[in-house]
Amino acid sequence: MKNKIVHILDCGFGNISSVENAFNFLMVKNKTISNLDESDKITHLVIPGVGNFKSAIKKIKSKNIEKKINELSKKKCFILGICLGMQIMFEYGDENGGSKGLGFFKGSCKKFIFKKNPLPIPHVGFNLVKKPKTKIWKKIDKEAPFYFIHEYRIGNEIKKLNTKCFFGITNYQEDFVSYIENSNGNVFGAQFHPEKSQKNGLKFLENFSQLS
Amino acid sequence: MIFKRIIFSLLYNDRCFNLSRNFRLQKVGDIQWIKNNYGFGETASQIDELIITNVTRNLSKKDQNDFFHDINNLRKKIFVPLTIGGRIKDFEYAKNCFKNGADKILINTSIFDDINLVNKISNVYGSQAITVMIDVKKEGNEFFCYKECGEKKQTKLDQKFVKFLKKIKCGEIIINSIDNDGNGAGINLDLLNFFSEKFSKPLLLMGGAGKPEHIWETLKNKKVSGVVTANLFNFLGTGLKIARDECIKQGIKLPSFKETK
Repeated sequence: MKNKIVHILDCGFGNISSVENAFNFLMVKNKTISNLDESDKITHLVIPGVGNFKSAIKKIKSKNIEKKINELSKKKCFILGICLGMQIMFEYGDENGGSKGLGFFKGSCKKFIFKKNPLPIPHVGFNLVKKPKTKIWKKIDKEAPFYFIHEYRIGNEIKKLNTKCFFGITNYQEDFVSYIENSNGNVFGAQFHPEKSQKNGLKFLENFSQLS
Repeated sequence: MIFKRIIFSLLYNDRCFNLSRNFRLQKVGDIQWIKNNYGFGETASQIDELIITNVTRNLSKKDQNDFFHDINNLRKKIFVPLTIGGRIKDFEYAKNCFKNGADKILINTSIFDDINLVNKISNVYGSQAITVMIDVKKEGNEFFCYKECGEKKQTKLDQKFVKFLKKIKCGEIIINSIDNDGNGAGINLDLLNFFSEKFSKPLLLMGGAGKPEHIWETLKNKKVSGVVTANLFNFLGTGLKIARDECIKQGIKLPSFKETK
């Protein structure tokens, strides 16, 4: 099981080394790449991300890899977007005046809206994820703490737009989508940072690396 | 659910980790020493976040590289958010901090000297990637904010300053008491009086935690998102696990971390 290679996409907007460290710790072979020129060989792709939506999408477009990611998502390649890497998988992001995303999932990424008793933004720290029962969540508690740090989030309303998907839900005064998985079980988005989430996060990444 | 946080802070100076007492440093050991004698791996499995602050004077390019080398060594087995701080005075160095594993960077002096730097970092990495640390010292009945690792008095901690803090493009604010630093006698909750419950950014307190009750007493306060401790001797080894368990027993909402492999 350990001979798979997880490719980590470095478009210049992610905290790549933490993800590398996690896979190294798990003894999962991994390789960081800055383009998808040799995408044929990729079975597992991680898109980490910190920063803002607009500049991330700009970088993806300037590197001409949008098309390749789309192709990979339609093949039997497992793609995991982390934090901003998840957000850009949606159609649209409001951050910095708004921009189009990759569109793997329907809906858009917006800022938290608090009607009363506003909570601090960004949402920082560990919070519980109510997980779906899919393979990537194997051996993780039904509600487990994961680390979050974000100002924008995928609202609960997108569940109606993506009826066939699986969701993980987290509450920060309002319920939001902290995890999404497509019906084919090959495209995953995690708003939380598994590489920063102690034991649960490592298990999540290990499960991802073992998908086949 | 909102969890509170217990954050561990390491002070780094000239390739060694240090104890600090009222901002005076005492060398404890180098990176190997931390790993060998205090089982930092075990400690790290019981914290919500880690802060490493480099207080080396006149930080040269070589010092920066040595620092990153040591950080990269330390964080190979630590899977919690990392904040890197100390002597961040230009964008290039900030960028390198992020490159070397920082999820956030800690800013103190620049909020007084170069707010444009803070804005620039925030525009590129997001405001959540900036933690502002305010070092304060009591004089009579008033508190004053300091820069340059507590060396230069800057401004009074008052409502005008709190308003200024509110506007800074940062994700959270740590108020660090120079008077309580390293004394282990308890955290100064008076500092919270300057902030209303509606203060829009997560607020953390640092300085003075020496026992588990100092931590849970502080975390019970509604205004506090977290406690930061740099108390190497009291909390390394199993100390933090005990503190964490006691906090949870006291009803503090903390994520529970089982042992990592």
